[in-house]
Amino acid sequence: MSSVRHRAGTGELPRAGGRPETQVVALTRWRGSLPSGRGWLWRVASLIGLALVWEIAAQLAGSNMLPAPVAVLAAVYRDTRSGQLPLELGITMARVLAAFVVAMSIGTVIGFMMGRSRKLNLLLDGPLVLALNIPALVITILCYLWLGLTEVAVIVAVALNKIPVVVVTVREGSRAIDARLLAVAQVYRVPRTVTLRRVILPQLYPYLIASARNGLALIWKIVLVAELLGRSNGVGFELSVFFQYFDITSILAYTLAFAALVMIIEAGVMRPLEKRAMRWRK
Amino acid sequence: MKGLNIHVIEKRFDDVAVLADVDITIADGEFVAIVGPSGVGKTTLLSMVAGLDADYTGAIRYDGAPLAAPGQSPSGLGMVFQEPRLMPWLTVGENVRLAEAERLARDRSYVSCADSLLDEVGLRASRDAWPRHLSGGMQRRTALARAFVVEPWLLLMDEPFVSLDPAAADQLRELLRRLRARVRPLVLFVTHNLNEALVLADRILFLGDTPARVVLDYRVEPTDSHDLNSPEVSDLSRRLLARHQGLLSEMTGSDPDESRHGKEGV
Repeated sequence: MSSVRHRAGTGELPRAGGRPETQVVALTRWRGSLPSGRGWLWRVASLIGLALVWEIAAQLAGSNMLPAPVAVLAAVYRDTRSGQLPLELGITMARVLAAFVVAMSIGTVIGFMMGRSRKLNLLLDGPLVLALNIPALVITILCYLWLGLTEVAVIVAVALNKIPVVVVTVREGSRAIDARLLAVAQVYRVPRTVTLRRVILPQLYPYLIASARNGLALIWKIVLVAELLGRSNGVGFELSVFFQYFDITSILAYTLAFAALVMIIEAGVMRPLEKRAMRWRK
Repeated sequence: MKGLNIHVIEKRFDDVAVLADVDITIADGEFVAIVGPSGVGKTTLLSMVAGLDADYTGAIRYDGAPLAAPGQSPSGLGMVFQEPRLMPWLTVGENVRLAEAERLARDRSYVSCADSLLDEVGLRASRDAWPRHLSGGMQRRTALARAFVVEPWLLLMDEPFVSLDPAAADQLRELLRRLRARVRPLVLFVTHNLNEALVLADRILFLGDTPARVVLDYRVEPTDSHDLNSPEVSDLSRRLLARHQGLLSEMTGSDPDESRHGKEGV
């Protein structure tokens, strides 16, 4: 089973990802799936299998409703050559990354402090539960109404959707920080910045990485919705146009291209980061 | 008043008074063992000196001035805990250098002594190893190197050699003697093993009673024997126990034989 697709699957219900129990499960799965040489083979095999199933289904359907993989790939190629696909992907990816950085930074700080301070946790826990349960769509619409149909509105809306999820995960992590190791840092009067870097953050890495991986999958879904509602470019906007023209081939082409991009980031950035941060466990 | 003065009027955990009326003065460079039954408050006392526990009435002073600012640990402190407490994500060398971070922040030109300390504790070859790949004894040697890399004037040790096999514990005590000879820190060494206290310390403070206080302040007769089970040490311990019979049966807890036989038990 491809853990990438599996995570994307749980992301269908964005809010579910934020529940502590789910996070714990995600964390154990993540620990269990440290990359091995053979793992990649299975991943590729499962993707090929999926393409085969798709091809057969397309042949059986024999209609415009489900174009064959080859037709979709041709569309990807066509729009890549024309330059439109890379442009739209780039615009959407820029929004995804901006929202990601904002959400991760703010969520990490709030989550860390809530995990360390009982009072702050009591103060913010109610709003947090509330925030976790507001649908992404509502936050997005409200941001557009309050901030106008602007770039800032998109970033804010998407970040607001992701922040509570980050907070819950990082709070869990900051509660799990080992006080005995903090005592070592205190006894040797280790400067705050060094304590943060060498004592605290390494204990948060598993939670931060879990949060980042779930986050990327969640955020790009919300960005598409936000683009569809109130932007005139980006993958989400293009999808709304294809929707009006009933252009299923292009819809699938853009979706696949973006999903592939996210998977490349996952494999090229997230995994190496995780490997580096966790090498001491080997 | 010269030296380290630990004056605890009262230390409570919720409703229970753990320590009361403790007033100890220790001279520079003195090696003091703190002995008493488990749960008597030895570790608590050490935490208070380390600045890890400020919730008590009383004062800890050095040469008449507060030992440390509130909420902080004294500078020039080395500490060895019951467990090695190494950061598992830092290599052996990085763990030792972590203790030097404060010095480095103060003095940019400071050159790390971590390597030479790792040499002294025989871990030069393991400098880049992860702690989890080391044996228990090696992890404790790393913790010792970390404590001595700051060239401490004050060294706190909380049963640092328990749960090691006797040979490894002997080796570590020898290492401690060697490292101490150079820096001469004031040492507070918590143990429940009377023989260990006798071979290491200049002075033994026996904690007992509830709430705990110092029931006996004992100056150790110097011995050349470094062997916990040598006749000489056994003799010392026997004489001590004979002289302070009533007190010691209480202090060493349910089984005074434990220390007489020099066991390493917990």
